[in-house]
Amino acid sequence: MKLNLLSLGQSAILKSISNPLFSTKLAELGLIEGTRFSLILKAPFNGPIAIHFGNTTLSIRSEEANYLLVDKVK
Amino acid sequence: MRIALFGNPNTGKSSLFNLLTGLKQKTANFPGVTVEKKEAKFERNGEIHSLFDVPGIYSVYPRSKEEEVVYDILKNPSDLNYPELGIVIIDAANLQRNLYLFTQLSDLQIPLVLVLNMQDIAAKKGIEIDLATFQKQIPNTPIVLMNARVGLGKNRLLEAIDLQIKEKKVNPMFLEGYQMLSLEDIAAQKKEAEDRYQKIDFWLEEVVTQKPLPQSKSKLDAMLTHPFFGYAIFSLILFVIFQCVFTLSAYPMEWIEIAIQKAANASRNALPPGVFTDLICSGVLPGLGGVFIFIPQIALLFFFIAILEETGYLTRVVFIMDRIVKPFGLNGRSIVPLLSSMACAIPGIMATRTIPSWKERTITLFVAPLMSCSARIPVFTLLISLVIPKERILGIFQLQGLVLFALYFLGMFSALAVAWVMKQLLKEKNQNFLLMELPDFKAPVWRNVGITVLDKIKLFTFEAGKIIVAISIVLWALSSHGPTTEKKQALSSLHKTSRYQKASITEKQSMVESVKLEHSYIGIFGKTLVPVIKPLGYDWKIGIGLITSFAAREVFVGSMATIYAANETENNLSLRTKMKRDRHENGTLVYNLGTGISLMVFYVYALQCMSTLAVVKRETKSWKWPILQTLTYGGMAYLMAFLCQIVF
Repeated sequence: MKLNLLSLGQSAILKSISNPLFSTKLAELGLIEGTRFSLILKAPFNGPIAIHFGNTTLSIRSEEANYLLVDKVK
Repeated sequence: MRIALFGNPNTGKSSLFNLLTGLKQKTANFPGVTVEKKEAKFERNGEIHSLFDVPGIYSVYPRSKEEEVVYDILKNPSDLNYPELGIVIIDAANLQRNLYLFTQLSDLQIPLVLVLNMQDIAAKKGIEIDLATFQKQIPNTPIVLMNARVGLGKNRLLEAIDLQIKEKKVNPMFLEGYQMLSLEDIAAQKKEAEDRYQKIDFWLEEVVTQKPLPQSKSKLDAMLTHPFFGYAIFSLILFVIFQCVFTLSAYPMEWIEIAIQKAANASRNALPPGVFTDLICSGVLPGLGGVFIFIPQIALLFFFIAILEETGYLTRVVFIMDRIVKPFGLNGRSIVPLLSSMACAIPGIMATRTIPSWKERTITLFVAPLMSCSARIPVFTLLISLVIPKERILGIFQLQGLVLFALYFLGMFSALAVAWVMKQLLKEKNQNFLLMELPDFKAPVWRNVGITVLDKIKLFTFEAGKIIVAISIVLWALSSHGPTTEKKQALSSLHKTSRYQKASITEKQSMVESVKLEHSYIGIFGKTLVPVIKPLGYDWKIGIGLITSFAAREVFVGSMATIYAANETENNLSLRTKMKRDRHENGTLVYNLGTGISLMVFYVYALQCMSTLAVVKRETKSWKWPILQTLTYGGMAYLMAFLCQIVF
């Protein structure tokens, strides 16, 4: 599923990123395929979202979050 | 030796740099680019070293144009800025991600010192670091424990630097045979990231133990990004800040005004009369005054912005505002530059450097001058007091205050409108993302706040100041000289009037000044402008004011005072009375409601500020943008002023 479909507070594992440049930049920050993270904030009006992995909280614009395919963790 | 300070954003890098260099630091740009380079010299054991601050990065491969400068330096060991020694500061609470940059630099075989910062916070988060095991992997890099915020560990760091200056030792490579990749090779960069993190994870497995803490969902964050409370809190903070800025700055501004006035009077008395004295007293000193008068507001506004920045709150502002301003082609990061522009567009435009997207940055700096800056306030206050009656609306709102508010709002609204149009016209040059870390909230480090404020004051004084002073001198020359015959005639006819003969000495002086100005080059220029500005309801006197405003908009008030031969008194009372009584040749009042509003609206739009143009030119490295701004805002000013003249 796309990251945008995740609801607040849910955890997921990153499966793939469809934009190569974006994927590389996220990888440099430590967000690599297989990394577990949780969605912790959503800005109002479908604005950016914030995810937390390791000890990093990162904000991503929601249209860029569409590049991320994830597997929901129960 | 050339020493560079590296680190991820939000690791306490600027705290460390400020701690090491204090007030000795100088700000310049990296050669050829508008990326700030903070630098300071320091002495160890009789040798002078230079330390410079590298922009905060996560990787040697850039995410934005600004970060590209680091890549260019590191790619080329013969570059003048290539570091002979690197200090890498890392956040102990986030070793894994911070070590990414460290291992890259280490693999470039640059001798390094590693600063492990904020271990106290890491410990609070349940993170324990086994230093001995940690050191094993990087035997040739001294590790220094520090708390840069409070200043702990400075001496240990200096000793480690001494050691590395002597020994210049490097570590075995993490990725064997590593060489910097080309910028285009994104796939290889990704592969590098995966390989590196694998190595780092393997290394840290025995180093870090993290006690599982209950997942702390920050209630504060939920509040600050709430659809209602988030914006309400931000608005409230803005309201309090601007309230403080305007009320508190009034006192020092008054002192500065008095001090400059006294200095001018004193030097006029002390120096022999002549052109030189005139230059000092009527050109240079008022010019300097025009610079210093803005410093209180700029300092106060940046004091508050620096606090918001230090605490980490500004990233939350970017987070909630990005979606709101995006339809207008702006970025969440445009908010701070636009706010700063409400004190002065110069630091505002320079603050746009933090916006990674070329398009969004260009739009932001293009519209920044529409935000009402402090130089407009004296003009607005004078004109409002002339044409807007002191009434209350609905019993609570003061009409005059409402008009001032409306002028600010008009500026902001127009900024958004222009931004929207530009969004349709400009094409983005590079692909870029809003990838922003939301750091933990922290108490501000006052040393950092102080240094930021000083930095902005210096920036304004030197960037805008030199232009304001230079233009003041040119304007003084043009306003104190003119074709002599006409002036003599005008003066001799003035001498014959009974009004002049009855006047006191000071009144006589101001009458003479007024006639001189009318027949100076500027006066002549103001009169030639009349056909152009007549449709707006302006006369030649206003024409002069419009020209002299190019030094800084508030000069309008001073010019009016000279033209109307008004004595400098409290609140410009005599000026206001004289302006109010002034009539056109056909007997109608010059400052009727239409002209007053039209002139205020003109000042909302017109880009009468040479310093702004100069800074835009420097930041965009082209005359295209300042020229476009002048034309666009000149046209809008004329059109809107004309409309107001018709409507009111």
